[in-house]
Amino acid sequence: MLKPDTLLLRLRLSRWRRFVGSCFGPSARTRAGFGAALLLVCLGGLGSLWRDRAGIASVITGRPALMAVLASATALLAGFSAGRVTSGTARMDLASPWLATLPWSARDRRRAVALSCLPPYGVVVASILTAVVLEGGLVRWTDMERTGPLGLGLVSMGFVCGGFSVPPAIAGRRQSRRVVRRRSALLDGLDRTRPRWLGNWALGRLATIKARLFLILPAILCLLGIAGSIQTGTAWPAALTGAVGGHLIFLHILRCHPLRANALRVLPVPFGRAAWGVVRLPLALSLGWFAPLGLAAFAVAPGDPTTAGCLISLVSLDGLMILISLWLADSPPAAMLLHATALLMGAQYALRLGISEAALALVLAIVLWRGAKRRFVRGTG
Amino acid sequence: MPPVLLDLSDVAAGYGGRIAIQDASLRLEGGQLLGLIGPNGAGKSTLLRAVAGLIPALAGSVAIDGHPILSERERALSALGYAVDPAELPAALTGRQYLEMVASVRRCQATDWPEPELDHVLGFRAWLDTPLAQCSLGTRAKLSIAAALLGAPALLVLDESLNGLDPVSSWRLRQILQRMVATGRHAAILSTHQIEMLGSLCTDLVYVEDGRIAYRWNRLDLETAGPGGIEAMVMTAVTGTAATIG
Repeated sequence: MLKPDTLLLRLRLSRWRRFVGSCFGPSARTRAGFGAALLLVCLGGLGSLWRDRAGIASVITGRPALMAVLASATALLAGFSAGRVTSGTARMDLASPWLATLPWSARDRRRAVALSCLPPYGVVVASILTAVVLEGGLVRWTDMERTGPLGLGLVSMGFVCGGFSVPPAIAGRRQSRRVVRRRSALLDGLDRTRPRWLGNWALGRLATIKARLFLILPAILCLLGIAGSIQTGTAWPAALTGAVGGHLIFLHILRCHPLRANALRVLPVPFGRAAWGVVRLPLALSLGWFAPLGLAAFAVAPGDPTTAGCLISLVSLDGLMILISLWLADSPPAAMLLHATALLMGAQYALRLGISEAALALVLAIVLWRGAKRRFVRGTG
Repeated sequence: MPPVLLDLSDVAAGYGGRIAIQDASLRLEGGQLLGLIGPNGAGKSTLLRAVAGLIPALAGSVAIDGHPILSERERALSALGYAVDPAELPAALTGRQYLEMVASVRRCQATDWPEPELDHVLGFRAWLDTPLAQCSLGTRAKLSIAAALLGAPALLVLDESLNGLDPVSSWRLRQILQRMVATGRHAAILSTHQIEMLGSLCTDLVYVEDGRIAYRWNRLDLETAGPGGIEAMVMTAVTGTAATIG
């Protein structure tokens, strides 16, 4: 019988091969090529961002402490997310039936879980996220010399915390696919139009958890945003809270994996309708979050264009994420990473948006949509 | 003249550049029930996936009820009921939700089966409100077949779907299939390894081997062999010797 260490090594090599295969395999050449092209454009954009840092910094002058907190939180969150995804995947592998039935001691299993927090896939994900966060500008906007190492440390700390934040019980529950759902009347009501239940299918277990999250925690932030607008007499606290919160909710709950499922693909449903079925629930929650805040902002400052601007920004950001998620339907983390990269690039171009940038965005949107449709209809692309 | 419900012409299909089935030509009219048999990995499921449009045909053409699957996908799939692998059903939904989803796409009721109260007949009514992840393999197989039967599509494709069913449900389902096909408005393809069950069920039989259709038997051949003689007929053709047991 194989020793646990040998088994783990093989497990990790297997996952590494799977990752490399998914990047460079014949079926994903288009994806890899597109990713490489986007990376090049992104690097160019980041270069411009660095050159224009003085101009960008002037936009946010007067709030250095706020930016430092924002940069630190972003670095910490990026590392935490990477660690959690990595650890969760590794633990699911370790809880798989063929491994779970082996006669390992408890000590071996604990060691395996600890070791599994640093598989090659996680290192790659963490490296990319670190590069995006550090090179993206948030940390540099404050003070590169001092906060660069701090940012790296925060990402690493977040990665370790995220790695240990997944309880074994959750991994085991995911692996056994024992989905215990409590019906949410709110979500079910939003998911009854044709084709029915795609939102519930896409969200899975998240349907219950996110409904609770949507109602309690954001309600407090909602009140804070409205209070901020009333106190300052301006629209931006409520409108900005609405746009940022709405988009974060959307990012957290958008799942498009049903578009890759044969159970949906054998049905006579056009791609557009299937895609709408998958995104309508997250979109409704995102806009539903913005609605009270937007109304409050409008009531406080009716003539202020900030509210409309925030709503347009929210719809645009959600739209971008929809396109990316439809294209990368089977990998939400990769979709989120690409979205973050696109946002960093967009932040640079937003300062001087012209015809060429708009045309490029339109071409990208068409390419993403057609690619997603091709994969739905033909199963390849 | 019965309608041509499936027209395959020199179809080749596979995965990742590897061809699993090639030169496959089939023509199925209303009233025909085709049995598809062959060794594991011969290309049966690949062929049926190409029929359903789940994988693209690398060569040849597929038309369902006169509609090419590639250019008229929605129309072609409207005439197709494909029972997906039970493992591929949406685990997060309950059986009822899954049936309602399929029915909403097919624009029919979630109980619009060719047989009244199919949920009772096949014995999955008690599990309709249980998440599919918690249902047994057999129950999920029944739900998959029930979803394929919703709206009574012209062409039914069951890819080893009867394997996980209990004997009574399997028998009842075969009765339903026979009644549907006997109307002349429906046709079905049944892929299975249980040759003995095909005897009294199929009107045509195809044997797939090494990625090609190796043998075909029509209604006359099957009637000549009789329900009890089909296994011997197939084994004689495939192994080259008369099949005897004992």
